[in-house]
Formats: sequence, C-alpha cells, structure tokens
Amino acid sequence: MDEPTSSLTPREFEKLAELIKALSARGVAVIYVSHKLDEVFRVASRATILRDGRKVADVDLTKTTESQMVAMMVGRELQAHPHVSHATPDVVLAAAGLSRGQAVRDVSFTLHKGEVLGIAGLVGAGRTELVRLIAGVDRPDAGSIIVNGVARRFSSPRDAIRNGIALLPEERKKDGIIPLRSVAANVALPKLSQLTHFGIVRRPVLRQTVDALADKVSLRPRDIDRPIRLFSGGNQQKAIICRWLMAQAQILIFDEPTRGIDVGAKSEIYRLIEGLAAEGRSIIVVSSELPEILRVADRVLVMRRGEATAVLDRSELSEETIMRYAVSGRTPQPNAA
Amino acid sequence: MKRWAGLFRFGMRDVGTLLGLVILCVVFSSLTNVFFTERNLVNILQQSSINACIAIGMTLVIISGGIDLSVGPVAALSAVLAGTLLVNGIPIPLAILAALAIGAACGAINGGLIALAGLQPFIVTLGTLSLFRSLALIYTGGNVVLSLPSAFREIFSAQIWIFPVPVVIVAVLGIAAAVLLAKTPIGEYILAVGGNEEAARISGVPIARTKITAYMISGVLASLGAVIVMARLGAADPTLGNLWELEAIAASAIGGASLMGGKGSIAGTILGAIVLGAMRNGLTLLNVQAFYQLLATGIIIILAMLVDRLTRGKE
Repeated sequence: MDEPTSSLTPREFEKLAELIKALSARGVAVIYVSHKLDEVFRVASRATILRDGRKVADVDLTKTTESQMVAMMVGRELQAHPHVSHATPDVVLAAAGLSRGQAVRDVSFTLHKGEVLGIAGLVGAGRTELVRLIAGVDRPDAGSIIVNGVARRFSSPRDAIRNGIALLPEERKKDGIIPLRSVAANVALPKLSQLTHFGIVRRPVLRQTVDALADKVSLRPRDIDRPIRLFSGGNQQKAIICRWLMAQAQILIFDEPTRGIDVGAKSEIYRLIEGLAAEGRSIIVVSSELPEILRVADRVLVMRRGEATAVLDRSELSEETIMRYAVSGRTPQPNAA
Repeated sequence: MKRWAGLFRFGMRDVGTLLGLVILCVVFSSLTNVFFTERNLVNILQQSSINACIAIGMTLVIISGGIDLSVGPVAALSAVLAGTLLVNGIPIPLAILAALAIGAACGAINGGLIALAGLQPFIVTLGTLSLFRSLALIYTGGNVVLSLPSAFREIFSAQIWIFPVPVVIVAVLGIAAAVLLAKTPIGEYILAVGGNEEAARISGVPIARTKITAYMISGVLASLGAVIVMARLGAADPTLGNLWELEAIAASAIGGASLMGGKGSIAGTILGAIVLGAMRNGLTLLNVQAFYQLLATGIIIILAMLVDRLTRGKE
C-alpha cells in the first residue's frame, strides 16, 4: 500500500488499520509506504527507512521512538555556510487566517522587509497552495492578505503584481515560461503595457532594461533574443527572476526555486536570493530540501496537512526540528532524541 | 528604420510559404500563358482578398489558442443588417459601421463565452455558427436583400492604380495586424496566452481581455469581408459565408499558424490565402473540374503541414 491514507479521514484510517491487522493475522504480508509516522507506528511492526533513494536502516518499531525515526530520515550533516540576515522590523506582508478548502487551513504569518521566509513541510502539506493564494493565482475561502498595512483582495495575479507580489512557480515549464518566445519577451511581459509610446512597445528601452538585468543575473548564453525554451532550467529561472525585477516586485515568492536545476546554478540562485534580500526586497522560499531552507531562510514557517505548525527563528532552526513539526506537528522533546 | 525591421523581416517559415507560391505560379505559367498576366495576377489577389481578410482575424484567434468557426454566419448577419439599412436609405458610412459593430458584438459574445464562462472555443463557435446563421435567416425570412444602392457598389469596385479597392483594404489590414502582433502589448499578450496560458496569467497578462479582443477582431474582419462581398454582388444573402471558416483556417495553417496556439504569422497567412486563390484560379483556367480543385486544396494543406513537420524536426 503506497500512501493509502492521503485521502482518508482519521476514522477511515482506523478502519483500514483494523483491516490490515485482520489480513496479517490471516498470514498476508503487507508493505505499507507512508510519511505519516503515527500511522506507521499504528500499523507496522517493522520499518525500513529510505532517504535520497538509499536504505538507511531497518528498525524494530517496538524498540524505536518517533524522534529516532526522524533523525534517521533527515540524517544529513548541516552544511556550514555564513548566513547574513537583512531583515528589518517593517512588516510588508501579513496573512491572517488564510484558508482554502482542506489544502490551506487558518494560516497566519508575517513577512518583513529584507527578510527571507522559508516555508517547509512535506509534499502535500499545502505550501504551494498557500503561496498561490498570496500571489493571487487562487482565491482564499477565508482570511486576509495585508500588504504594507492595507488589506487586499486579489482577483488575479495581475492584482497581486500591482501590489508588488510576484510568484516564481514550482513547475517552470507549465506555469513559468512562454516556451516559444524570446527571453526578452518573457521578461518584459508584466511590464509591457507601461513601456509603450502611442500604443507601440518601445523596443530599444525594453531591450536595454532586459540586457542590464540579464547581466545582473549572469544569464547564459547571454542572448535575450533566443527562445527561452532553449535555455537550461537554471537560466530559465534566472530569466523569471529578471521578469520580476523588471516589474519591480518587492515581494518575491520562490516555489521550489532549484527543482530540476544543476548544483552549480543552485548556488547562483541562492546568491541571487540573498542579494535581493540585501536590496530590501522580501522573499518567501517554499522548499522540500531542508539544506536549501537552512541556507537561505531567516525564519521558517512549517506546515503540516494545511496548517501552520510552527514559525521557527534562525536560532531554533535545525533539520530535525523542522522535520518534527512537518511530520508530527508536535513540539520536539530534546531528551527524547 | 531598424526598429521596424523585425516587422517586415520574413521568418524562415514565411519564406517557405512564399516558395510554395512561386512554385505554384511557375507550374501554372508553364501550363497556360493566360496565368502569368498582370490582369490575371490582380484577379488572383482580388479573389483571395476576402479569404485573406477573414484569415487575418482567424490567425490572431488561432495564435491565442482558440478557433473561430462562426466567421461565415457573422458575415451573413452583418450583411443582411447592413443591406437592409442601405436599402432603407441609411447613409453608406453608417451602414458599414453598423455591419462592423455587429461583427464586434458577435466577437464579444464568442470571446465572452470562452474567456469569462470558460467554455471551449471549438464548441462555443460551433454553437454561435448555428446561432448567428439562424438569426440572419430569421431576420430576412430566408430572402436575399436585393438592389443595394449603386453608390455603395462603386466604392468597392473602384481601383487604386492597378489594384481594386478590396485588395488595398486587405493589404492595409495585413500591415495593421502585423504591427499589432509584433509591436503592441496586446499582440505579445495574444502570443503569450496561446503559448502558455497559465504562465501568461501568472505573469500578469489580462487573459480575458486578450482573448475577447482576438475574437472581436475576427468578428469585425468577418463583417468587413461581408461588406466587400455585398458590394461585389449588389445583394446581401443570409446564406453568405458558407465554409469561410474552413478556408480561413486553411490559409492560416498553410501560413504557419499552429492550432496549438502561440505561433503564427500574418504575412504567412496572407501568402497562404494567395496560394489557395492562385491554385483555384489556375485550375479554373485549365478547365479542371471543380471536384479536382477540392482534391488539390486538400493535398496542398496536408503537404504544407508535412513540410512544416519535416523542417521543424531538423531544428
């Protein structure tokens, strides 16, 4: 059974657990794949822990604690790197009680000027759904979004962009780029209507601006007339960063900023994110990669099943703490680990 | 000058369409010496002008990722309304404006149902194809509106240098549409929406406004086509414009527009319309039966798509 409970209610899970017990009593072997540790402990007697496609351990669940499991799931050593925060006390964005169906439930947080806020959680925890509400892509059922002290209701991404909020989506090919168009056309898209002279696009000004931005992010190859589909994932991402710099976005939301991007380009993207924060922009980074979150974030919002389970300050950050809130939603007990 | 260079620079695909047209002309010229005469070439342009006019609008809609099957009935509805106005002594400019307004309104209905109600373009315009046609038939009781004023007819049968007025109008429209597509925000929006609608939306492109604009342009151009046909025939027929949509789609496709959206060329479409016109003209000069003309049209369309596929594979 592969993640059999993703669409089940707790009561239905109890029924399933009873069924599994009955099956195994009849001599049926059951393999149960899940990221929900409480279910694993309820259903299974033995567990195999995988990480990054490799087996980490086989454990006897009667002799293992949840926190030991988490430690084995995370496992990685922290990469040492200097982290400089550019956060200021000014709140530029506040979400209060944001909800949308079961995916996002009553989530509140604040974002400061110059801050990088990480959003962590397991796949399906509602992180992408949350940032889509903030960027005006979807509409919330309840709750409010306050930008620079004024409550806003976005009916489209266009509205959010007018308020300086921009989304760099998780799936670049599907939601990010216009594949057949040039980098210049892709970058200028949100700004186009302000770049006209008697209704005609002022191409020289446009090209100059895009050229300067392409230098800033060191786009490679340095050809803004090339169709964007011919660029690598990392350079497509850089072009999308240019898009929002051109539109003068003050709040940039990166959803999985380095998915499908090679290691070299990854650290370039991280440096860009840090640079944007240093310029006084505010950044939200949604990521499933904990080292990535730990590298760039000043604070981390952890989500679990649509709810915010914690907001962690830099001093409290560790992979284990984040994982614990992401998996069980409970406060970590230091002595249990 | 340099900033306008992009507009008239033919893409490789347009060169291909032009090459096809040249080959077609060479073949017909070698088969009949009537073909390559000034009079016949102007005649081909004249015969292609209506389809080119419709196809320009169709191309914009297709690039935006849609399709407009209702162009023929939009033309018919505009024609019978403007025809009635003309017969009742309404000034010619007002009657023409009324026709174009009908086209714009029909386009707004198509665009609204597609962009605001989220219905599929093919189905919506299939529905309005019946709807608009039936309105034209109901309005006239199925009768042709006859004896349009001769002053109206003369405007469109006049010539500018060697070119008939309709050819000049469509040429100007073609340039305007090419400018729109290459040089204005709405043109870039049309390309973006057709290229990747969700990415365009997240980039702040006004999706609904863009789509509705494309369908409205298509509607207005269908009405303009109707006005030209009315002037030529001196009558407004409620069954006018039968199969115009297929001719226009064919011209767009031959010219390199992709029905997947995001890709197409105004110059290519106009060349595509001329290819179809030249072929029909040449086959008629050779006294080829109409059945075979249809066969040739089909072969040309499929050939164009095959060449497209093969050259794209090399990229």
